[in-house]
Amino acid sequence: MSKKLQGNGLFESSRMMLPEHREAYIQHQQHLVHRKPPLIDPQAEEEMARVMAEALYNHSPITITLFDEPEDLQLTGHVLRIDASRRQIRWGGDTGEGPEWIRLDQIIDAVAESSI
Amino acid sequence: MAKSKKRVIMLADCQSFYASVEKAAHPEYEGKPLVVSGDPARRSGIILAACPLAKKYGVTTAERLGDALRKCPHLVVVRPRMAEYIRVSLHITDILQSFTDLVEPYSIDEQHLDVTGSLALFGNPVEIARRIQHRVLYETGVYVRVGISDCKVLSKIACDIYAKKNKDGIYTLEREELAETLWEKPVHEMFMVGSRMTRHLYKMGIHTIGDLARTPLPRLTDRWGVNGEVLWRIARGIDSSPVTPHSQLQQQKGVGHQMTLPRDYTDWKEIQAVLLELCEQVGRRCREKGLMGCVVSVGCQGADYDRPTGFSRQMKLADPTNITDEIYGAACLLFRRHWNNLPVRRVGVSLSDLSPDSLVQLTLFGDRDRKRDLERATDGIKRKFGETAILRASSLQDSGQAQERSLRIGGHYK
Repeated sequence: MSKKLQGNGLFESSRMMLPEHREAYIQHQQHLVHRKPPLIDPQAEEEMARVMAEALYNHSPITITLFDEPEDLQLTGHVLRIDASRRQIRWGGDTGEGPEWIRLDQIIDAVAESSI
Repeated sequence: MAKSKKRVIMLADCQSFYASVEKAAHPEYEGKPLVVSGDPARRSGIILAACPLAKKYGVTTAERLGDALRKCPHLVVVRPRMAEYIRVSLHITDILQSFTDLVEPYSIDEQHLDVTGSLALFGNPVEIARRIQHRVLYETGVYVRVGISDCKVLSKIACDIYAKKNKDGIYTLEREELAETLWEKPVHEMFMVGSRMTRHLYKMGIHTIGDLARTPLPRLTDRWGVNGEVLWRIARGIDSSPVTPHSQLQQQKGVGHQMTLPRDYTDWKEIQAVLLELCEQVGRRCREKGLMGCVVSVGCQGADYDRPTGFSRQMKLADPTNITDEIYGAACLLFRRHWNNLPVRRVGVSLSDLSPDSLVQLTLFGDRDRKRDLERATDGIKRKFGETAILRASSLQDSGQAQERSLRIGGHYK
């Protein structure tokens, strides 16, 4: 049987939507579902810890990616302190706002600015 | 199979959508006839939407601005803002989604919703329709008309033929009463029947929707095949299509861009510039979505649509890619091979056979890492500062379209 006669075929084939509208709709729909934080490989975790430790000792800027709804957040700034027991870091952002604590389990990526 | 419960399906249609959005944004135009027109500076521009007041003067959509101004000299003419209309359309989607999760856009100003499961929460269908009308009007200034029935086709018809014309803007089309209501209506008012189809149906002696419904199916399928059956089913209200937010809208088979050129391009150099711009857009959209493709298609058309020239060809790449240069390389190869040097008015490039770009096969040749880094940087700049913040030098040539294109959506101004 033809596609037009089954499922949603009739409406799929006659729908009129601008590509930009379509894109925006897909994004809108994606914001409706809750995202799951990615599982981080132990090696990647080690690498992130190394990048952050280096940034702390060299006072060099890094960019970290935080898992957040609806989309990930990227921050560039300095690691001021690492609190291993509480699993968090003291973060000084480039945006001029005061330093803040960021939980390690929120961080899904860390890259040294010098390596970009 | 257990007899399933009757569904309650609605179609919410926005009245003069673009014009209503503009009127809500410009309270000073209240009570004045307003149209949204392609390019107000050019009288040959086309009316995209006319408010009900303008329609009273006989202004219709798709007519020329010059003709409309003759009918109504004090017409307020507004330039379209497509991005804003998309935003408002999604705002309405959002409102509808507060009544049910089953919402499906059909076009920028029409959306289907299935409220079967929401009746216990929000009251009977007409009540729900009224609440939708109130909320959309209050939050966006747009008046929606709602057609209600038990399937998508009938809800669309309920809206087009009845709800758009009555006082409340709400109409329920009952399946049991089709013979007395819908079947009395002339066939040209039916969904999916255009002017040409109307003429064919008249010749067959089919004048009302009832005539069509009572025509033996083979008479229609012999003549039009599947489309004949589609029409017959619509007339009888036979439609099992679900209202689904996970429609094909969300699956992406390919990423493509095309553009109509401002004049005929005959020089390979000129075509190269726009080809690169298209590849850049295709590549960038793939990169943004985290996709790669390994089939590149290129097409072009000549200016004379009555005597079509041009081609549409595709080729498979050795490795999936989303790197602009690689797409461009393939596009150029295809163009050189198949283009017959006749003038070109429309060009398109697309990338298909998509896969996620999280896994990449390492290649021995070519410096893909460098290119990828470069594009990550240029994409970032564009995202932050706008489409034209960084451009290829070739786009600055007279033949380049990137700057003009960045101002538009669907050929109209953003």
